[in-house]
Amino acid sequence: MSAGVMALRSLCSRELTRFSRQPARIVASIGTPAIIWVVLASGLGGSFMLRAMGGEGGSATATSYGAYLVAGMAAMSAVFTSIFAAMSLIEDRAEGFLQAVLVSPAPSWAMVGAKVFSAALVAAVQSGVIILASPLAGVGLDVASVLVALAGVAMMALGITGLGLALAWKVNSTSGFHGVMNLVLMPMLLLSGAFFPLSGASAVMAVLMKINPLTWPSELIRTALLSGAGSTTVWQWVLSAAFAVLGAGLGLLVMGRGRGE
Amino acid sequence: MDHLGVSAMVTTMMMSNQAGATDGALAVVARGVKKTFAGTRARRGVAAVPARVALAGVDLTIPQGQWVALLGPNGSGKSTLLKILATVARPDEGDVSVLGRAVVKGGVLSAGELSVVRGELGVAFQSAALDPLLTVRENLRTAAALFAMSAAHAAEAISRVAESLGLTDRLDQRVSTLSGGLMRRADLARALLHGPRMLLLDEPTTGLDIRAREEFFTALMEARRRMAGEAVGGGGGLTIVLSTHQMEEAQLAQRVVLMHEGRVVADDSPDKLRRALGRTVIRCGERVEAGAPDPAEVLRGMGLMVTVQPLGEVLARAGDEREEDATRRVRAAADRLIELGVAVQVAPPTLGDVYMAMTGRSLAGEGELAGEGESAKKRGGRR
Repeated sequence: MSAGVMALRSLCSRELTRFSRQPARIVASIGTPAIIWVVLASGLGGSFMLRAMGGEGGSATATSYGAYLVAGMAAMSAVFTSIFAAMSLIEDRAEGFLQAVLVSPAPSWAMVGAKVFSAALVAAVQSGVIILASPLAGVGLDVASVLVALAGVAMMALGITGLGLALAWKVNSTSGFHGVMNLVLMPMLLLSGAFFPLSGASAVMAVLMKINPLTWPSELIRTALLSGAGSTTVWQWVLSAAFAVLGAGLGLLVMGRGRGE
Repeated sequence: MDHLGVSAMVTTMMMSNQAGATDGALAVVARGVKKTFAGTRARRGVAAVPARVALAGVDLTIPQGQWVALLGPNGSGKSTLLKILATVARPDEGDVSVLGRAVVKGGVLSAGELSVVRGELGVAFQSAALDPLLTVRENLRTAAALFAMSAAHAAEAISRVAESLGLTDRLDQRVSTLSGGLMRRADLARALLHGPRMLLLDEPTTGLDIRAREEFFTALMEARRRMAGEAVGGGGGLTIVLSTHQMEEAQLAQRVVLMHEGRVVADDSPDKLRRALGRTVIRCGERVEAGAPDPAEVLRGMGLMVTVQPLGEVLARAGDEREEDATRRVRAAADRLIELGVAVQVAPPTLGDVYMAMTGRSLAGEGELAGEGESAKKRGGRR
């Protein structure tokens, strides 16, 4: 096993151990989207008539707003998890742990990789809880659609965590970081189709939604859950993967340059 | 600035140190290292911070196996120098070689060398680089993996280092529950785990009480002794570079490098540095009441060399005469001050006295006493 992979594995293990020892974080990260899901679905469900989403076009089969929201809540879980993961870099710096990593020979990609992979794993597990509860809203699940949806969640988490790490490297306070992330990510989440579909949006809004990098993993998740894994499109996969690679790559670039690599 | 005429003597010592260092393998070679931290502009309600020179051209060589203390008050540049040696900060100018590898050339980091050098360094900073949510053992396992140690090798090293530092019964305790002293020892264990050739310690006892400090240095000396015993192949043993503003800690080192405003102002063994001031010195306070005798003037009048620190502390020595004459004149001057009702202290010189004699400043740092030292340090904390 190479030195970088050893470091990556160890740092991933550390991230997951830290997560497991913060029960409030576990409850909050699953509870928040779950509560929003229940409130929005029960409060607004009667006011919306949606068609089941088959990619952008959709199909003629009616679906409930609660079922539509499942993908959005999975995406929201990924967003929150990624923000926490990136913010933990600031905590690592404040607590001193980051210094131990910076003065070690471990490559920067191991440090970035540990953050993004553990965030992706945690996001997938948390979203998995929501997805497994989705039959309560009338969503029919099969193994393939669940796996594809989780892959979409993971790609979203990889990209957001990478972007967040690039920002966290430059920011000293968690409050400042949280403010900037909310300023950037909340509009992105709202425009990702998490709460309302692309097909019904105004022309301007539709353009914004299409260029929003969160839209594509969000659409991938929704298509898999509501129309089946086979209905996902190549573009959804390619653009989701591109977002994951570019986000993680940006994090690596910023942190690597900071270490003189 | 030389207040007691000791600079010529100390310069000779520094030259002999540099020359002697070229004979054996060198752990550190730094040439013309400069670093300036950029200032910030004033914002609403927040004053502008001027640019600050942290290192103003430092030359330093350290032979392998030597224990060197960088001694100076906050803002003297010692932590910045240590960060550069640890390869986590880049100087603006200068060349730096660490353990035989050029890590900085003309102010530019040599990316290809960083990983190799980092693998041979153990570094402990002012705050413990440990994850408080993990146990000591989990932290050490993580650290071992960062240095590519196999699981079996890591387990053996953890047991050995924990035993050496008295941490065996604390290994499965969460770091957040440790006392400050134990946490620093656990951090030292992390820094020593992979068997580094050079240990860089940046004020490692900050915030610890006297007993915890003693325990830390006892553990460090024990670890160094063991590592010297285990050293094979004539590696020269563990090199230690310790930055501190505590003269008691610097006293433990084989060599003390006094730093002031980003420069090396003295560099020799602790005993030789102190001997440059003679066998005894006088310390007293400045005149506090109008009409009362001015101790500094009295001492000057009796032919002693006097330094008055900005906060009023007075240091006097007899100069480079025969030791018997110097001691006699110091005693006579002290008696005169006592007759005038001035409280005096006659004692062998300390490293703090040497620092004051060289710079006219207290080792405690007047800025720090005025509440400025810490903020100045924080300003310099980022690259």
